[in-house]
Amino acid sequence: MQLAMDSNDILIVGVGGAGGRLVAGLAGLVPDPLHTAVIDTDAGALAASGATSKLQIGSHLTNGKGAGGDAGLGRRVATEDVEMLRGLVADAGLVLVLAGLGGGTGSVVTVELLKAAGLAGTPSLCFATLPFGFEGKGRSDLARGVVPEIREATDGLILLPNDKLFKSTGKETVSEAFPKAEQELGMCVLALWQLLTKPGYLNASASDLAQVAKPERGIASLAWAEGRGRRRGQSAVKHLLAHPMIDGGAALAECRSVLVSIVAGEDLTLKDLSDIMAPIKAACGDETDVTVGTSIDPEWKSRLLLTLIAARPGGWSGVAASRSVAETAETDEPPPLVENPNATVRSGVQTTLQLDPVGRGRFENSDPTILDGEDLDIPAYQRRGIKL
Amino acid sequence: MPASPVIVALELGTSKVIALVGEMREDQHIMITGMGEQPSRGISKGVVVDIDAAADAVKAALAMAEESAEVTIRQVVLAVSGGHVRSDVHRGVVPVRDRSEITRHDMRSVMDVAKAVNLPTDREVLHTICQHYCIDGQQRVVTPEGMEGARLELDMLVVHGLRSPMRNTIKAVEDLMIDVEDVIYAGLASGLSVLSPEQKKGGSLVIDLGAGTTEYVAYAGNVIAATGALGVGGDHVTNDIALAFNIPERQAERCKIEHGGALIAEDAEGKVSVAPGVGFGGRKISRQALQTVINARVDETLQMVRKRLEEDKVPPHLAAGVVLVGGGAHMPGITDLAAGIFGMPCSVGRPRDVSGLATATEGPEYATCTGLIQYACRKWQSGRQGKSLGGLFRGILKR
Repeated sequence: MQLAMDSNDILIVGVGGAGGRLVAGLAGLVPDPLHTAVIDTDAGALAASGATSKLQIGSHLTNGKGAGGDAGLGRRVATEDVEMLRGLVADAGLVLVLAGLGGGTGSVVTVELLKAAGLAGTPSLCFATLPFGFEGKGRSDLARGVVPEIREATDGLILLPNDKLFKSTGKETVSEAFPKAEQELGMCVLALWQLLTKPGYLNASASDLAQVAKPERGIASLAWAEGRGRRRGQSAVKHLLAHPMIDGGAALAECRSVLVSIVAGEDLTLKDLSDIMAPIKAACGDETDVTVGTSIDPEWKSRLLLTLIAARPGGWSGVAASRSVAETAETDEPPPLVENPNATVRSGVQTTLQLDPVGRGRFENSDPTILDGEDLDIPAYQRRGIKL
Repeated sequence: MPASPVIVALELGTSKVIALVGEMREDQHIMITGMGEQPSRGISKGVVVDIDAAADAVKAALAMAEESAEVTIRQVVLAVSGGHVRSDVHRGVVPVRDRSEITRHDMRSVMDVAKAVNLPTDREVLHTICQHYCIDGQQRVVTPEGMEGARLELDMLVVHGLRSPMRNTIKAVEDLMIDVEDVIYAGLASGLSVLSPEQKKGGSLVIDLGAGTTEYVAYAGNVIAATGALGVGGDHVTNDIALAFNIPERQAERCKIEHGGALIAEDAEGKVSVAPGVGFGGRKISRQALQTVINARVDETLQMVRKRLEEDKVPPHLAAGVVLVGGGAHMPGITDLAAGIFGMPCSVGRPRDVSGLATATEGPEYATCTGLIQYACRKWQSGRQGKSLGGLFRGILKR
């Protein structure tokens, strides 16, 4: 039996606006201290995050603002500060990178960070969200453009299209859906973190994780479901196999390997395990390797969380493998952007949903005045949501 | 008592640079004999961002002051500000040396202990101000010398700010070959200038509503309980208006001054016209919307001051109320808004015990500079009388 990893060995890094938000959301979900870091060009977003380490990069290039979806700027920033990135990951045993692709910082800095981890010999796993379809071709091209580079640089890549991430949360309003989706995604990352730091009797190691999400095996996706009460195993697995991220369980048959993580309380029974694993085995093909890891945590009494990672050789709907490789083979420079390069990446999974941004006016180029995480240079009436 | 030497006070504000020339007369009265005022350049949120531009404005203001006072200026007393300034109370505790009567030596050592604060490397102490002593648990002792006790404690208010912005303010002046004789935190100077001894004793809050920063100083029980600043001011109000109505900054500033109000008047109907300017054809905006934008910002700023004071454990009720100074104090409705937020009476402060040039002695925006002159005069005076024992701040700031 392999020893558990020390929680300090696992560094969870959020890159850019969306990644930073995800990392900030993790803190409240488990009682244990997490070793987290946030990398952003935007000083305001950094100040607001509660991460253990905060790395502001390219401050002189962006004046402490976001890269605003400008990948060229993001790339210059990342290459300038590559030493800082290397220093951040050098001592970690495993780096989990969370990023929203499609933004200036998130897309490009992620690549540089993963490269830095590779050079430092630190294994990495990357969870990246892809922009919504309605965010326009510019963002989605930028996101897809960096995917091959990320695949090259990381040990395991899990791609999460926002379109599907949000399908799973139903018809809530935007203000409900975003935090909910972020929280669910955060939960999944934590489930994997728990799997590594607090293994139960069946354990999966970091290398099992990397195996299943290995870029050569296709495009990896992540699905999750929670179960409660007496029949928690059956209900959780039913929802898991219907999860939009894995196109409903049918496609699992094509996957060469699948990893299932179960976070449960001490009351997890063998029957629960077989309730869960039987349908998953049935959905997978005969050729599929299925690895199961459990993490027992008293906090999870009478409920359980299933997380499934599977790499599909042809890619999942919305994330076709062939397309992203073909399209970006010749693209060295990222495609031109539709967005206003001055728009600041502040918070949220993607910024496009920020309604009617007014900006900072005369303070656009001065150091932001941040108090209690609020950027006071943005008009007060706007932050207070007062309609004029 | 003879008159003090001529003192030049200089403030590098975000909207204007003010230089005042004055001296203290025999009757403790401050006489302003000259002034210079120039629109600021190269200063944002109370902090120098372009040292050459700022120095140019300082040079012009000093030249004006030299001309009007008929003096040659070689050294100044300088106000520093910026949203980074804060204060903390530090308590020093020492055993009394010979176990009975407290001596000057004990007082000096407790002061040294209380002053030894551990600040982040990028910060620097601006002032240390004695609040009160405490002997064997007996609170609020004013002069412990000669009293008996075994343990002496002292609460010291330490005012500190970021080193580099403060140094840059000094540098902008020194680059002109002008000596900076003393540096005083602008918020303290404003308090010195406008509060009467009764107001300090009863407890009072002075808020300086500047263009780039909002400074505050709270007196409670005749000592300074807390002071600090927020990097938000009148420029933010102007910026909010410009962004809300999509009008140029210059027009927004005029709108604020001519039609602005801190409260949303119930009968605020109709429109106000915004004069045309370069590349702008002029238009009309709703008066109520204008007041709403201003109210949101000013209300927020004052609420933040209130929150800061709560954090700094300042008693919520100060008998002598709130005194507003700075350019923002001219805004209609601001005293009513502040009175509502702080739950205390509120008035606009004017420099006290000052005469001479009418403009400089009446406007709330000159409170900082007149305070600087008062500070320097009293410091000169206490130096002459040989008041030792940390007398500087005790003698000057407590009264």
